[in-house]
Amino acid sequence: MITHVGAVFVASFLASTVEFVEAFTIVLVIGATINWKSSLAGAGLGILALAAIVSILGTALVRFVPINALRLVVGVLLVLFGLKWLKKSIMRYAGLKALHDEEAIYEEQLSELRAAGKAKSTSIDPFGLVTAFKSVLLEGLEVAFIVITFGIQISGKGQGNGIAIASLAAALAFVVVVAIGAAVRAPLQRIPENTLKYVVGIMLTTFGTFWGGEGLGIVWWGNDIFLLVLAAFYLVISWFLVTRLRPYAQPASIKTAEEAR
Amino acid sequence: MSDKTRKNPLVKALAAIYDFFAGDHIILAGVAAAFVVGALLVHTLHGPMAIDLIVFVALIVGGLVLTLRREAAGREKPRQ
Repeated sequence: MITHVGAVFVASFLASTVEFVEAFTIVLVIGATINWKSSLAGAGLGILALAAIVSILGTALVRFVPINALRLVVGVLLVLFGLKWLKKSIMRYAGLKALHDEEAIYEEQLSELRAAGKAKSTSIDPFGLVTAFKSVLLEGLEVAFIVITFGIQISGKGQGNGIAIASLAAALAFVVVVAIGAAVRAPLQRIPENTLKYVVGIMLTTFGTFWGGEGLGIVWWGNDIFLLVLAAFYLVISWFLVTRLRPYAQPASIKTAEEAR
Repeated sequence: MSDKTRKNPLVKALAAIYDFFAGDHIILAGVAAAFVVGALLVHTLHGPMAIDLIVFVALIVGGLVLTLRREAAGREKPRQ
């Protein structure tokens, strides 16, 4: 079904964009405060480690794990990721958390690095290298997870190479984020991150519920069409929760970077 | 958790894995309950599919609602 392939492409693209934005923010901070050599070396090593992990796990997942068991595992993980993002987005829309995460994280990282006395130098700095490496590997692993899990779903339904489609979406997201980041030379605070995270949270929770349910043996009415019903349901519920939480927002609260995480 | 325990590399590794996959014990409990109860309903009790579906989704949403309720509980609701 073309719509299913399209939905997987869009979901992979959006989810990957969020992860790349997070990783790219850290890489930018390290580059701007320590030096670009350490930052890019750390990011490069992170990508290499990620490629090695994905090539091994990807093959193992596709070849050896039964599809229903995989749907169950993937469903659980996607629901967990989705609800985590949804919770943060709801809290931000309700005013319980700072809206501009990347700006807050950028400022926090900047002051931490300055406080640590990290002056700019041209040689590789272990702290900068490890920080960039860790961020790229961690966020990249989430992208890999999204790509493999979304991709396998359509591969399992005989709709071509799902991993290739999801990888293409992730690659496009990477190009878009890097291009935007390079163009603005700022920590990507202009991208409405919360909107992105909210949409991704809804999509991950929807797909997770659907695939997890399939893995359990639940038969959804209308099969894939029920994805739209689930997405609409989560949208309504989340907006209801936003309206219920708004009275608890502190009007002039100091939203720290720690709170924004 | 004591400082000594927190410095243990194994505990730190487990905490990092937990943060990566869940990061919220109420959401984790809700999702776990949804899948365990869902599996029981489908494979053991053989209930009507509509009931299985509603209970499954309700438990997932329940985890989200409870964790947000806890977040709100720590803040004083201003008088209208």
